[in-house]
Amino acid sequence: MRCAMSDYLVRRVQHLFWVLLAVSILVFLLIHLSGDPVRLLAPLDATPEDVERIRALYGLDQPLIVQYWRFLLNALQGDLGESFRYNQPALGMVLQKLPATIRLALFSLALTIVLGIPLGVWAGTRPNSAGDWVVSVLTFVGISIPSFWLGIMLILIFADRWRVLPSSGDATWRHMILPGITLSVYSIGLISRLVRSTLIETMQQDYVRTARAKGLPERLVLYRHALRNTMIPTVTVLGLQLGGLLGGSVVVESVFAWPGVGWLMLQGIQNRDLPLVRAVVLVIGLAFVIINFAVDLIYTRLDPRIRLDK
Amino acid sequence: MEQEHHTTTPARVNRRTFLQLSSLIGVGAASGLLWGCAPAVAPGGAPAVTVTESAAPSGPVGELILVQGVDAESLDPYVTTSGASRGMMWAMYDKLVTRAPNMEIIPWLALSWTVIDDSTWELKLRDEVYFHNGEKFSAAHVRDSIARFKDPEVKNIYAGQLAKVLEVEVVDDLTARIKTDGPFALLIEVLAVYCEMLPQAITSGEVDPAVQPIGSGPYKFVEWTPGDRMVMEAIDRPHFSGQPKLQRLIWRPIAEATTRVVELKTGGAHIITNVDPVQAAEVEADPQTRLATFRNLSSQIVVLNQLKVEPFQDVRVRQALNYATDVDTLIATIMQGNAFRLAGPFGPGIPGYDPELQPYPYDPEKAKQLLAEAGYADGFDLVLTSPNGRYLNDRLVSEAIAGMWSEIGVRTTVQVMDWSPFVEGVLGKTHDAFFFLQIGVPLDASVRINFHGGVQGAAWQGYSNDEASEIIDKAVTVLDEAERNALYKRLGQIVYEECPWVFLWNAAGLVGVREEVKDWEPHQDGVLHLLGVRLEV
Repeated sequence: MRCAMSDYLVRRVQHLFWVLLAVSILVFLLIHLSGDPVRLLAPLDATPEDVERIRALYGLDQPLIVQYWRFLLNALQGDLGESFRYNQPALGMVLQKLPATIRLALFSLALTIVLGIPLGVWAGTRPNSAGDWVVSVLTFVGISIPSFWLGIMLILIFADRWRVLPSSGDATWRHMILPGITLSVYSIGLISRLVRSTLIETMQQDYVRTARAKGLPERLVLYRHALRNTMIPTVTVLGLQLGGLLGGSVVVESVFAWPGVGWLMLQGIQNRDLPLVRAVVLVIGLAFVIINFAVDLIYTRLDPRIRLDK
Repeated sequence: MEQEHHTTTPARVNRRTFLQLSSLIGVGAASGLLWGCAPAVAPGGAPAVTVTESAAPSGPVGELILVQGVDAESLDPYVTTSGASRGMMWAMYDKLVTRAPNMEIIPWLALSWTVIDDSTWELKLRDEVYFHNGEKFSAAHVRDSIARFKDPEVKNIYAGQLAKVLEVEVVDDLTARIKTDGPFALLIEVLAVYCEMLPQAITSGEVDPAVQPIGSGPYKFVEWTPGDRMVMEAIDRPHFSGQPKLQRLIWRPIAEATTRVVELKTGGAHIITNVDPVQAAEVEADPQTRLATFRNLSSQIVVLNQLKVEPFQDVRVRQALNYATDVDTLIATIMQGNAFRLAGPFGPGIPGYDPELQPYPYDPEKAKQLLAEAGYADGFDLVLTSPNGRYLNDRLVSEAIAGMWSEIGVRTTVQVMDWSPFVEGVLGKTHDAFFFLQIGVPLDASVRINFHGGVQGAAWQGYSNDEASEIIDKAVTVLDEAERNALYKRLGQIVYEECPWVFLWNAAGLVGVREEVKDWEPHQDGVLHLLGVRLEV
């Protein structure tokens, strides 16, 4: 087992390397294809000489492959370059903003687990009842609602009308409530629907029938047998959701002025700030890979039949 | 799947947040009117603002929270570029000259400025000014700050503004002579926007201003968390401007306009910029808040590309489109009154502004007649390109204009573009016509890139008039303010007659202010100047 584990780790690190390499190439190409950063960086009334000076200053006068090679060499040494706009190391800026984003993402994940799973179990144990129908509608709304609109509505209701919660910033834990809800509404909807449908399916399995047949109380059938098997797809999706919560909080962070990576990403894209965007995407990419790794480990706990050495 | 979710409303987000970004184009340098370069300006001779030694009756009190759409990009005043960051920098740093709310240039660290000869300006400096680290301000600081402003290592994208400055001679502690490459009439204009004075601790390289800002302004730096808040506090001694009147300043960026308004109403902010006009009434109706409106300097226009659209080479066609555009209706309906109509290219606050010019009246019959005279009685097809969310209601206004033009036979369709491809189309001169914002001060840069047929600059789209080009070249060398303004006025008249643009409006700047904020008024440059502002507690 120990040996399998270390083999597994080596493969994971290799996997990580290839994923990050692919992500870096993709980001590099996409941003370059979408336009010339110098023209956004330089004032419109800059002289052509000034424009060329700025281009050379940031090494953007070199062929794309040379630029990428330089970037890669520096990146391997932990240097993701200086932000064009802020003249600061891009990686440092991202790492500085990362804790706020992780905090919000974990809070949203907690909300998702605490609300999404029980909701799904409740609906899944009484399929096609009126209660199931209500949950279905609610979760469908949760999945469909644009987070931008929801965020604004929550601010208008809780911060403006009732004045019970702050609308922006991250000064106290109370500041986390509205953005946390906004961010998690989608995952709550998704997870509860997933749990519901998986549970309904599981309850029809042979081993559930066997458990019932041998006279196990329904509670034990549900919690000891069915739910455990329901958790495998759920954990996968929760892992993906956490990645999504980390990387996809751009909208929510800008609505609630939450000073995190999403805000930084928005600044980077708007200013065509290549090093900054690259740093954000690479860090988020890294987080995704690590989360997947964690999900794999959790699998082995949930289902002893799953082995990492395959 | 989750991606789908989070990108459900990108257009909406972009519109809101883009609006808050200070424009890289056109309005970047926005400010001003008077050219304080009359042979000598009397110290303290400014009518609109008192720059006196008298401090407030009591010491500084209260904590003022200012919320803008974007944050500073850096603590280094020569690196950060957004309009939002100027107000932050100017609370900590002093410039040689500054502007009153009406854009008039007033003495600041420089008490007077005199033309010695065609290529020398002499500045008399204010005595007894100290930086936050105790250094006493002197002529050497002028020399070293300008040197750092132009230093390529600093990566200052506005370094070119002082390209004509050759050297600064320190005559004595309080006298500096600025040597220029030929007559540099815009020097004082430039110094009213750029080149904050730095202590030698910074210019010598000992202290990095991006980490530890040290100025001579009424507030000193405490801390900055990018994207969250910048905190400043009152200096211990009185500043020559009578400030500081506030104990602490907190600057916060909030991209979303609705969130800013809620913060204002709930007391989480005292002053907010860029109130969405949709919420203007709400801010006015709340007894605890009020709305301060100012007329922006920059001109909202439609640029007609004469290089790409052949009919635009005929001045009658360009005039026809001005007659065919019902600007008053656009202002009353789509803009909900939040715009001030322009007659020609320059609005009030710009040196070439001519109050005599009358806007082209809405007259579709006259427009059709002009088109027919030009040989386009059957009209032609046109694509009007609009950014999406860069300017207030840009797409809606473009669509309305397209409808108006189609009525006189210029069959116009609207193409909406994201900002970066839009800019590339402007620079590459590939749009037929586009909705745009131009004009700022110093005026030279914007007229040069738009109207000079020889320079053919970044925003130029084929317009050419020899007299206009000559005026643009000549004005920068004319040191006499009245004479130079007369030249720009003539330029405005030529452009008005020849219509390389369809002239629309100066947008209204809307600032939300809480009632406890006293003695504050908005400046036309849109920067949050804090002179005089206090909190009633």
